[in-house]
Amino acid sequence: MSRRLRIENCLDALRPMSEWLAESCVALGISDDLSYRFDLAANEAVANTISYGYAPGARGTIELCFDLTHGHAILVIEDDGNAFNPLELAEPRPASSIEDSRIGGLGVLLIRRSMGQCEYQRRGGRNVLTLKSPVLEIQHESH
Amino acid sequence: MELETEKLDGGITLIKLRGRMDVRGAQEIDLKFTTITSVNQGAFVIDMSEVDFLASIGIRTLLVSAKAAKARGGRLVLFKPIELVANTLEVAGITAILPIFHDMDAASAAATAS
Repeated sequence: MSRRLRIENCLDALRPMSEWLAESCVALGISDDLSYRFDLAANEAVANTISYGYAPGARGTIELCFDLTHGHAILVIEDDGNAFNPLELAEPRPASSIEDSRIGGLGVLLIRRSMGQCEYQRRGGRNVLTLKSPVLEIQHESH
Repeated sequence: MELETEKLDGGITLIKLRGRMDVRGAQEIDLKFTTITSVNQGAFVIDMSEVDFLASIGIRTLLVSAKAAKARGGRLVLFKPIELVANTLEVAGITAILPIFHDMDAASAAATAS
């Protein structure tokens, strides 16, 4: 029972995406904690894709598919932008002072730490990001 | 996102944030937040208790303001982030620069410490 959403490569689409994700998590009986982590990972990844994966002014489509299978919740994010891996930026060192702090790559760190597994592939002219996390408990029964 | 300010005893500026600190939210408050933290002197306590989501863009807004406060000899501290938001700040490795307090007296003391 996978759930799908299609959005434009526009930062205004992030809120509808988050709402769709929250509804999907409730429908699939996913806990609030895990729902938050998917929300965070998806916001970071899709914001990166929208900001850096397309030439300025280029229109595109981002498709999301959310599913629960074999004890894992899986979010697949596929876009038709330039070859761009939102996981590729280097992770920052922990910041020890304001002067040392680096924001670049923070989003990537948050994606990796929120999700059990992250994988990027370039497939059929599209970027495909798969985010996966084990579901440790079902909050309520889904039908 | 919404933003309210209040002056507390000891010259502390309390900034209360409300809502999702994602791309949209950060954009909505960024100018006002940055202005308040660069115009006022010294000590800032950011009440995070009604911030229900924090993304890296929101962390950037907080960091920039912490930097501005520090440059003016002040400090910016965070008060009562919800657990999921606090986890994000810890994962980001940012809690030394943006210290978290759950007690207002401790937050105020830390904000005014030199």
